[in-house]
Order: sequence, then C-alpha cells, then structure tokens
Amino acid sequence: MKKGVMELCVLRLVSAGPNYGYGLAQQLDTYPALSIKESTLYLILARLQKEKLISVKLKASERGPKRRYFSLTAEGKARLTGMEAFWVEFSTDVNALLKG
Amino acid sequence: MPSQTAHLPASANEALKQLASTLRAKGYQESEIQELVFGAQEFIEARLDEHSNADGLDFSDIVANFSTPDLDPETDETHQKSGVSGNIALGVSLAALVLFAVIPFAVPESSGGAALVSIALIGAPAAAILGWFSRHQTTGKAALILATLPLILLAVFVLIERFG
Repeated sequence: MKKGVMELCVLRLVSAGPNYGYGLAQQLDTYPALSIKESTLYLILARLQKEKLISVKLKASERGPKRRYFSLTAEGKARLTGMEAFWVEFSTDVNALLKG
Repeated sequence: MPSQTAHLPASANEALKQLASTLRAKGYQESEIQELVFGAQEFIEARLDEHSNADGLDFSDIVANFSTPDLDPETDETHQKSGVSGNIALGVSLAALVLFAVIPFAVPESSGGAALVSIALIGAPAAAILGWFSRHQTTGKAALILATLPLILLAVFVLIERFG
C-alpha cells in the first residue's frame, strides 16, 4: 500500500514543476510519515518513467554537472488526477470507519 | 552507468561501479540500476558540495543505502514469470524431441514432413533455451511462442497426413 501512496506523492511533487531526484528526496524528507530510503525513491522514479507517467530531461545546474529533471507527462497528469480522487474517497471512508 | 561521472573523484566513481555490480548481482533491471546509480551519484555530488576537500571522503554509506531499497526489485517478479515461461518452453522443447522420435514413423519422408520436423527440432529447443536463460519477461514470452509455433505446425501437418 505504501508503494502506491508513495507513487501518488512523487507524482504530486513532480506535478509542481520539473524537479530532480535529490530535490524530490529533500522535499519528501519534510514529511516524516512519508520517509523512505532515497534509493526507494529512485526505484519509484524508474517505474514511473517505465510507465511513461514522467519524462526526464538533462538540464544544466547552477554548478557542477547537468541534472536529470523529471516532469509529468500527459498520461501522468491523468493518472495523478485519478489517484488523487481515489485517495480522497478512500481516506475519507477509512477515517469515518476508524471514528466509528 | 551514468555517462557524466568524469567530474567525480576516483573514489566516487569506484563506489558507483561497486553499486552497479551489487545491484546487477541482486537481479535488478538495467533501467532500475541506471536510476539507482544516478541517484547515488546525486547524493555523492551533494556530499562533495558540502566539503571543500574531497580527499578522504567516504561514500560507503551512500552505496549501502542505494544497494538496499525498501521496495523489492521489480525483477524478482519478472524473474519468476520468465522462469515459468522458461520451464514451459523447456517442456515444450522436450515434447518436440519426443515427437521427433515418433514422427518419422508417422510422416512420409517425401511429403515435406522432414522439413517441419527439422524446424521443431531446432526451433523449439533453441527457443526453450532462450526462455530458460532469459532474464526478461518479454523474451521469455517470445521464446515460448517460438517454441510452440513449430509444434502447432507439426501437429496440424501430422493430422492432415493421417486423416486428410
């Protein structure tokens, strides 16, 4: 379940604008409950690329080598919309159930 | 391996090579290995940015982190699936070999049956071996199709010869 939730979170972060892996990892670190190994984040990125939900482009960084920036594809946007709608419904029902 | 590693110190490059080898040994797919190595490279670069002097910097913790992701490698599942395909393909090839032993008694030599038998004899085991050793699901499936097709041709031919 966590894997699916993390894919949703990564898609949401990437939807805010092109970002590279290290930047995404830093952003995820600000949410303690979403803490995962950095390596796991890169595996998720690999899978999202494979599913053509995100695309990657090399861009020059402020200093040092070029960085690989991830962007949401049209398919990714559609998937994100669907996942967000599902998550709202899902979490609402689970919360309602837990509150009895 | 990422192509842009020339700017990294030798110890970092060595660490990335070691990481790639470890991941490959664990059965990760090349696309996953590439992404994980890129990730490790970004973290190494971040550490290098934090230190003015790269001498003596240790990257083993980064390598260890990227060697053991929380999620199972996708390839675990893929290996299982391709393994099944490989087993089926091997079974099909064995069936082809048995048929080959029987078929000379069933197919007249002059009817072209020998050519089909040859296809089954060469194609099926070759495809099965490919499927057996294949580490990719797609190749395993292709191998299975390749292994099955000659047998179907052979079966149709035998049926026509016997009952047509």
